[in-house]
Amino acid sequence: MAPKKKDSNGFHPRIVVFACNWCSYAGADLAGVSRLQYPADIRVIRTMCSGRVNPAFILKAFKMGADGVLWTGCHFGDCHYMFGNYRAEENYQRLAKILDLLGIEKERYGLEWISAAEGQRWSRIINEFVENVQKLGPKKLGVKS
Amino acid sequence: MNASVQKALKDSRSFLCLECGRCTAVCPVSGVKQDFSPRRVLSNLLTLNNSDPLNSTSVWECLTCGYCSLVCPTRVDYTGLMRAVRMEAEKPALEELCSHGGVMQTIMQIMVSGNLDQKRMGWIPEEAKYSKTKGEVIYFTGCLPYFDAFFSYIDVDTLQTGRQTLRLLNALGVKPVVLPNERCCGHDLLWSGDLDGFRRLNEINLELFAGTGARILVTSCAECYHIFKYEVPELVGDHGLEVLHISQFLYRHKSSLQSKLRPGEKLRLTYQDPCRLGRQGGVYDEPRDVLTLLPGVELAEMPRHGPQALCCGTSAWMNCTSYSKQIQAERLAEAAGTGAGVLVTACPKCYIHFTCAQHDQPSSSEKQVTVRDMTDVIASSLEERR
Repeated sequence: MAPKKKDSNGFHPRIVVFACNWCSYAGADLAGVSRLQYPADIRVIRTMCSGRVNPAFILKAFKMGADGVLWTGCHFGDCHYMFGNYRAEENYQRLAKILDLLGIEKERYGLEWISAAEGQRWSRIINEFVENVQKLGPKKLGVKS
Repeated sequence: MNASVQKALKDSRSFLCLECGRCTAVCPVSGVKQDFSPRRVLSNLLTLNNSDPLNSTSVWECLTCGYCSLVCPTRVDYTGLMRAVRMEAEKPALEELCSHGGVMQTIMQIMVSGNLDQKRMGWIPEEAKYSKTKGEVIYFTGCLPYFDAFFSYIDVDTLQTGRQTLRLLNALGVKPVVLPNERCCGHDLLWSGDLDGFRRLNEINLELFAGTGARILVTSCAECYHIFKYEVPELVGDHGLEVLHISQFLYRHKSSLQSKLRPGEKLRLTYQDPCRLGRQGGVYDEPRDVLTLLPGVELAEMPRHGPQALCCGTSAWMNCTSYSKQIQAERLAEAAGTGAGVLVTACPKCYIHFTCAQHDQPSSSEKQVTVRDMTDVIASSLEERR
């Protein structure tokens, strides 16, 4: 299944997506088995819970040259570990302030709740996110480590 | 043993160690963690007793507060040795070593990028007078905006330090340069063994400073002060600036400051000497002199003050452990014991660490004192703006 071709001036961003094991990763699976299209520019990293993602992971992704980073998890009330996504939300708010101070554009990062039943939503969010990052172009913060 | 470590041992006069153990006797970490001993770390490094001293966690447990060097009869620079050894040592994973998963270190590593356009000026009040480009005095704000973003959940307001410093400078008729794209001073990278990152940050800073035509650099952080005064000229290059901590700057203009103070209520304070400002910078008197200028203020000293001051328990965002908490609890109890209502700090890190310790243990006696930055205390005594 070839990824959807985008008019991107040949720019394929490097995008890291953190997906929780119980909802978002399964949502991505559903998008796959339903043959929904989304660009191949994302690299999915599965974590057991969105609450496991430390703000440092996102910063580190940017440091290593990511053009965009997306943090995904279960909807509130659906967390497999009861409150992991609430912790993710708190941490995300603090992280967003830091990314803003660093001058990283708002379109380059995000927090989204995608359930295991929302393959459509996964595909739509990834499409929109990748498109926005493509419009902004490369970030070039990359300091390889 | 590699040549760099050999050189570090020599430079720090470690071969003169008498193994008397005074360092371990005064070390704040040894006081709470029985198996930590600077004397043993040093003797392992010298004799290679431990098969691989460079791979031992004790290299990273030192707070680098410098109390050991002060009491050492042969003046072994243990702190300097630790700094050099960390550059050579096998670095544990960032997440393991650093608090908060390494958020602060990663921010600094991102700042190394020349391709950065920060939006860090949002905190400056409208009425503040400052310039973004040229001026006689630079106010180096350091990591204050980042600390504020990250530590808001423990109710610290580090940007208050920034706002009040600007207010004090303005009150003295100074319109400082605040650089919109300044980088971190790299203190934490240097002390966690990343000399390369430290150099790159300050190469950018030096370039930015040179463009301002300034003569004086003022910091409200003890660590930034120490880095620009001592480390940058030695390790990066000459900036030709006179580096002053805000307490020194205020002390220099104390008659002018005094004329702008309004009568205040009686307030009993105690002062925490930051390690980089006190023991390692020799600045003990200026902060005290400026604080006692304030009408109604009475300064009470803790039993351990000045060169004997106890460290705030964590350094360079590494190794925040239960031992750090014990050290902080001990210090807060000591501060409360003076009968002072306010523990004044001159370093945003001491401010954050002590506030965090209070946040963690909300029901204990450690909450008796309020932790405040010295700029906030002083600026609160300024006359209202006309």
